[in-house]
Amino acid sequence: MVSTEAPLEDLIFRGEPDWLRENRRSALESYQRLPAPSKTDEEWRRTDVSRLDPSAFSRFEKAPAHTTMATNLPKGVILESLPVAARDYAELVQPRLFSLAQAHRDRFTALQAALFTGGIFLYVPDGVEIDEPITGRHFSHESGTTVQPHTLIVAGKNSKFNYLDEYIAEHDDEAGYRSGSTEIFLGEGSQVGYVAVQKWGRNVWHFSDQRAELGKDATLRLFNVTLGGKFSKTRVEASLAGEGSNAELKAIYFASGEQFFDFHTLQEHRVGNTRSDLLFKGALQDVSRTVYAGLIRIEKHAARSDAYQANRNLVLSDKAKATSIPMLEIDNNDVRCTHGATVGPVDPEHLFYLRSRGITEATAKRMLIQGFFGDVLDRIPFEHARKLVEAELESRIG
Amino acid sequence: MADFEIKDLRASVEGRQILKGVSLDVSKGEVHAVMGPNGSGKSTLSHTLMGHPGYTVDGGSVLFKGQNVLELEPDERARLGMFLAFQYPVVVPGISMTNFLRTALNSKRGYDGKDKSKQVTPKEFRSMLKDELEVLHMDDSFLPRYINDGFSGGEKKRAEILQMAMLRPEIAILDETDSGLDIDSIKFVADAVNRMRGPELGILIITHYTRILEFIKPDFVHVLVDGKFVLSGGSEVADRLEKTGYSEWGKEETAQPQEVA
Amino acid sequence: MATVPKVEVGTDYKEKYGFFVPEEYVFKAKRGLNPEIVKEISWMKQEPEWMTNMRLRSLEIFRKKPMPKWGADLSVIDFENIFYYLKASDKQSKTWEELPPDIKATYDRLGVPEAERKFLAGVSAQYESEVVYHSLQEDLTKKGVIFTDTDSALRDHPELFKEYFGTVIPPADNKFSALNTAVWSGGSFIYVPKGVRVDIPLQAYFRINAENMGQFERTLIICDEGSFVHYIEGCTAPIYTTDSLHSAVVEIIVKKNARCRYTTIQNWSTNVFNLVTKRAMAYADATMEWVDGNLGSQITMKYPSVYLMEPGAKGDVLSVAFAGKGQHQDAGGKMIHVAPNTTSTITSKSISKGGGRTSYRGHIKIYPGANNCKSFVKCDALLLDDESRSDTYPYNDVDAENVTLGHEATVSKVSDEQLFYLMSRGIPRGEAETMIVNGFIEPFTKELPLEYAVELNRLIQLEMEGSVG
Repeated sequence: MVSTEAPLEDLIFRGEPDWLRENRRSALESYQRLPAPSKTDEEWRRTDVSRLDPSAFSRFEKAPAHTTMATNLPKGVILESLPVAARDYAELVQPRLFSLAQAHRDRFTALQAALFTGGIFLYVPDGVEIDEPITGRHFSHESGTTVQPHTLIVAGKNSKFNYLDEYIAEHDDEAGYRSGSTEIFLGEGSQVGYVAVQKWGRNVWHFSDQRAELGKDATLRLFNVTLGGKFSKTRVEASLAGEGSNAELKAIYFASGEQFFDFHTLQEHRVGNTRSDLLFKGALQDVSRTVYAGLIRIEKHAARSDAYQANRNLVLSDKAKATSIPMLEIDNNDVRCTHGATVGPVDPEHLFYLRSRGITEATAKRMLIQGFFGDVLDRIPFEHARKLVEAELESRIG
Repeated sequence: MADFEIKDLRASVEGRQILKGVSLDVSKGEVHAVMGPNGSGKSTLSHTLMGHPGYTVDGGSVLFKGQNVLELEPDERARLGMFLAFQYPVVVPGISMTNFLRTALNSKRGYDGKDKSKQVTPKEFRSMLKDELEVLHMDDSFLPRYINDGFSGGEKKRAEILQMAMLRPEIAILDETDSGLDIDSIKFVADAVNRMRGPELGILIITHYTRILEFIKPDFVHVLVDGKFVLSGGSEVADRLEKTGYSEWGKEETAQPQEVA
Repeated sequence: MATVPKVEVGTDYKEKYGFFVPEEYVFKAKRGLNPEIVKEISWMKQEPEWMTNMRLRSLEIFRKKPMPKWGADLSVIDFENIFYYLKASDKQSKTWEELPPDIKATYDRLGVPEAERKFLAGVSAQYESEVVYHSLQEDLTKKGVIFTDTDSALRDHPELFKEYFGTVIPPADNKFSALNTAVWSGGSFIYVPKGVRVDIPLQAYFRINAENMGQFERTLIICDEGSFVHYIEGCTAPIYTTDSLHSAVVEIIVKKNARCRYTTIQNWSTNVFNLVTKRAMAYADATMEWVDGNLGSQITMKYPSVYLMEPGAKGDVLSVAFAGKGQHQDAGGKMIHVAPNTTSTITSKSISKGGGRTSYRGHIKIYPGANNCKSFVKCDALLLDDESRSDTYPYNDVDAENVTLGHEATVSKVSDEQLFYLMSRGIPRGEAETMIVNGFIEPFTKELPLEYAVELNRLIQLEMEGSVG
């Protein structure tokens, strides 16, 4: 990466408020201090980053995010580039930025906190509802570069809106270091739909932390789509901090070639009367590999909570490999929790049934893959994102 | 020459031979019933005819339209005009019945995504479906549901018959279509099959019990025991079985289901 | 050394299981662990040199290996404050009448003779470190079945013993298997010849009955081709106030087409650390079934495993854990698919109550080349109150092709609707809850011989009553 402070000051920190520059420096120190992930650490046991040297991608792309609806927004809504917002709305940004995705968690979150570029800040005041979805589009243009967008969303009391982050590579074969992290704060009674679609180039390293904190009666519908990268590690975490809050965490992934996808999820029920529902579904082709590890944690006093967690993997090739580790830590009895995981090929009985009706094997397989994703696609929180994802998937299933 | 000729068919499951030389000629316009006690090879016959990968053909041939269908893939057999109504239709999550039926129809017509002239148009599809549903006295509420997902036993069997009606086969194999159905549902299914009966359709009813044959009168009845036909004749064979069961062949099983109290 | 509070149980239980028998030991080893003690144990047993050397080697391994960093907290174990060998009686008894009176009284209360009358093929009842009572029905002997204590097996069947001992679980496998190999004593040895089916379960009772007594029994079962045996290990223990360590090793070899079922009902007193390594090797078309119930002990760490070595092998773990106040049951199972076309299932049912903690910990490993394997894991946990805790940690490593892997788990409390329904028919709440809990573990209970099933239901009832009173 960048080894001295001077070019950093020029490239990234310039024009930023002192508190942010200080935070970046401190995060960079964390990055230098933190050890490389070890195979003995359960989270990294199956996820090999030993061949990654971030300093190999020392060029930064200045990547201003493109947003839709920047003009036609209801009064009081702030939609701004994150560095600008840090300067102009410090009172909103400073207490929250990297408070959910903490800089010292590991080297990669530290790097994100130190060197995020561009990114988006969205603030929706109390009671404001936005009908049209807001879209943030993050681009990369070349190989060998680093692109690290970061999204910070603050939903005021009883606000209601949908937001889509798209991570787009100009060239599908780009190599480099990429991220796409998001922190979402849901105020009391707010309803947020959030979709992230990762379509970086097929040769990049991608790290992402998507973490939300839900206040009383807040509802989050989060949907993650992972398609790009030769290596992609995504954490999806919801902290249910207010009674009556409800987090729906869904994801689809489609891995092919030599892609490796890693997902770590956390459903953290900190108070009672909370609900979480997680479903991650993936299909694997060729020699791709995926790892899913998810934890439901129900804390001592979080009574009357419901938590569901399921990971389903459709393995389409003999050489593809999916690992699934669904975990529970339940400290209260007045709860309903179920979790499940499956890894397996296309059911030969299903294939036979379709073929017995005259459908060719290739068509039958394609239908079964679409059918596999069908129920989760229905859970994409808004139409615009649903169409986008369906089209992306369609082109990949072929 | 019959339209559909099974010649000395031998087949095994997991290394054990179940069918030990079965021959049968079925022509369009005829209804044949294959009856047999448990373990006689009835489901092996239906699955082998349709090409289930779990059944191994050890010998014999099945000629249909000049081809030995035993050499064809299951979907090729279906496109050629064969149809199997399953005893236990599987649940396939995530695919709606509508999507399933449309795709099956398009496949049958040879539409491969390229030649649009072969494609069933949405209008055509809707009207076909509407007609068949009307004939079958079915409502369309199950069409958006996933294949057989959450269907009752009766609904599953009706859905099988609907598929048959849509796909218009020339040789239909009904595998224990009456199992698990109450008498009203059997009548219902039988009425639907009788309506499809005609010079363009040959039917092979596979059943343990004579009951369904009261509603679909067979032209020929064959008794399958231990993988071989032991008796063939007209509908009088079914009458005989109704009285004596399979005891003639050392099987203490009746050919009448126990009445439900 | 930590002091564990005395656990309150029903008076009936105390009378039936919680009795003390005066200590009358022929030989009592010194506390602590060093090469001299190990040599002394081996010398007392008049063992061959290879075993003495193996024990000494294992002691070295034990010292070098670190304590496991995962699972339950084991830091309170003081290895220097444990007796590593006791011999309750210096002679083996062949009949019930020959047993020493106090030991006989113990088994009388446990109902051993009655059980024998009904269906026992043989009893290998372990009292302290040595098997003292042992009877074998004549027809078993005629069939060539060997059912003896492990010490006698080393003496009487040296070739067979040496061929298999330590091959399934080598001393270096883990810290506690090393400890066991260094100081093992007692346990059961079973050999079932080719094609022989033992239709009646073989049983052994194990008890600990001295303060700070470590019990390190070692069981070795060999099922030759096409054979079948069901072995039942049932444990109850009196209540003491200081920690005891139970660290057994069970090795099983199930050859081609053979089937072995190993049933355990573990009910150590709640001051015992129960750290057991159980492993079976299943060869072509063989079936290994672990039926494992953990009710007692302060801490249990036990994950019966099956290595599926050849095509067609099948592994099955059915596990029940009950954790009451101060207890942590860290249990589960491991299925290691080495060969293709192998199948495994793990079914785990756990109940936590009064602040108890149950953890399911499992590992499904499918090696490269072990294609077309199927594995299914199902875990259900019942939490009876809001002080208790349940965890599920299933680890899966799949390195083969065309593998189908499933995992399902649920955590819930006793259903209000069920409880209401039973109570609306006049059944008191406590009894209704017990019925529901017994219903919950029914898939486990139904796999037990009737006597054990009755005893288990009774134990659950006593545990449940503890919460009401």
